[in-house]
Amino acid sequence: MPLADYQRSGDVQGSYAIETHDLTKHYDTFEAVRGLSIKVPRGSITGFLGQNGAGKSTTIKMLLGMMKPTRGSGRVLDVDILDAGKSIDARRRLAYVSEDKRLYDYMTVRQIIDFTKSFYPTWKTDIEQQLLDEFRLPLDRPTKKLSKGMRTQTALLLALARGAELLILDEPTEGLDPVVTEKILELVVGAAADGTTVFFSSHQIAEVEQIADRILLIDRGQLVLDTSPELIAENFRRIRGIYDLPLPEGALALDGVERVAVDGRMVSVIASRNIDGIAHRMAHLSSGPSVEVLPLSLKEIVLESLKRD
Amino acid sequence: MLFRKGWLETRSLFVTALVATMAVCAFWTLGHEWVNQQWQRDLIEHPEWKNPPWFLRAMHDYPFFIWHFVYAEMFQKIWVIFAVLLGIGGVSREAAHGTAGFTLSLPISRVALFHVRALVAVVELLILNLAALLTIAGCSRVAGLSYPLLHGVTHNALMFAGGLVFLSASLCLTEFVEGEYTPALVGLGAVGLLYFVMQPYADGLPVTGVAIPFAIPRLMAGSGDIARIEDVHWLGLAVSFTAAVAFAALGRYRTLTRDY
Repeated sequence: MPLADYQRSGDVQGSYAIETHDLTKHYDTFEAVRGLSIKVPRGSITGFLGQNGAGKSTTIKMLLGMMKPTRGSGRVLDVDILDAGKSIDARRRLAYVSEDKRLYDYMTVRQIIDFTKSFYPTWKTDIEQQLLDEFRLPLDRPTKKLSKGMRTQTALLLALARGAELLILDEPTEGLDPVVTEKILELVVGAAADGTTVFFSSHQIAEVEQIADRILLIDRGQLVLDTSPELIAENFRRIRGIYDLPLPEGALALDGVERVAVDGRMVSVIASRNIDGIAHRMAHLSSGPSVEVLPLSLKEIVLESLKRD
Repeated sequence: MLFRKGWLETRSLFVTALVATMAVCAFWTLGHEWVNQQWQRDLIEHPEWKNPPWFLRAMHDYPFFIWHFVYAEMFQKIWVIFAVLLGIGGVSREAAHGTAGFTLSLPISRVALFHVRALVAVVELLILNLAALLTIAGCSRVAGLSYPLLHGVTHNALMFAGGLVFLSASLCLTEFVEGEYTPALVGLGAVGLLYFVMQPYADGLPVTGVAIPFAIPRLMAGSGDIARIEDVHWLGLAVSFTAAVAFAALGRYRTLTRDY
């Protein structure tokens, strides 16, 4: 079974903040997103991983109604993403921080807070004040004169103070120093603890591993992994064996085998389940091989998933 | 709040256009006497100079003088440039600038964004017309000259009604031409082409049929005797206004259907 089909076990039928089915976007002949079907459970922190140009931002733009899918469907907070009229209702209940984090150059921090606030009856003044104190943002400074870190912080303040049910963040920590990055990740976790669903794109594996309870990996517009850090820790293993003779073809076509790599005498298998069965089989493929079972990190899983066939 | 955004977005441009409008109007009213004296001297010192057809009338007819230099020339060009620049922008420009994601994630429809932007531009253009009217009236009084208010009102109304097509074309252009500055360059280039390349040839043509689009500057200016209602070119104005509505509708449709 390919990694893309590996679904997190224990999913229960229920309400999802985001659902897409066969979501596809073409730009002329280029396929930016290809048949993407994902589900983001309410209350989760979902990391949307992928390399630059993998299709993360295009997917988010389709979810927000900024782009029309070429094919497929999707729902955000139970609202059809193709329904322009109703999507206003969804946007009232979500917050989005774009990849650019650019804000209106002609507004000061105070003006853009007042402007944004006017659209949200559920605006949380206490969160606004708390974040203003924490970030020490200069209220009278035009946003074009803010540093990148301050711009990101302002954008996050504008997102978090909305009291949104769903927070969509596109590369929220890109280009930021480690201190600001840490602070932002803490805020994201804090928002999730208050019941907000967080869907954030990133190509930083470490930060996804740090805060996400669900991981979606996209490559060249296609979903290649849908799992969680716990499942990786519990289920994924690398099983290595050293053999004197080449293995017969199909010898490792076993349930749970995700990928097989051969390097000289060493055969390395990535497995997502049936670890004991695979290890047992590998141990008995020829006489006296040394077989070892090793844990796998998210980084290894991601790198394996992104290896071109 | 959307209106406030529209105002903040355009205020620098608006203030620049307002200052330019008032300066031009004040110059030609307060400077009328000085210009006239200069002309008198030129007539005596350089009798060999060929004077344009409007010259002698402008020397003796102050409302005609104002019409020629303000409504048919300088203020009209300021107005048109401002109308084009006001139309450029909106979410398309924000997409090039990187703020479209923020705007489009707000619970506002694209139609509302388009309409508010157009409305803010219309109001600002009307204020420019009002500023021209008041500056000419006020400065004429200071200069001890008499300028009929009806002339001013009619010329400004014509400029607005005939020139609205520039704003609409620009609102439309910005949705079709990508980039932060490219639409402005294309729009101003088209205006330059109209005024400096085609206009001299169109001036000799009757305002009818296919010549109407090239005669928009003349429609906006009206005639020097515009106080007479029969001098208004109603067909030309109707064509120009219809084109304005069509451009606005096309721009609105494109705003609704395009990807950002």
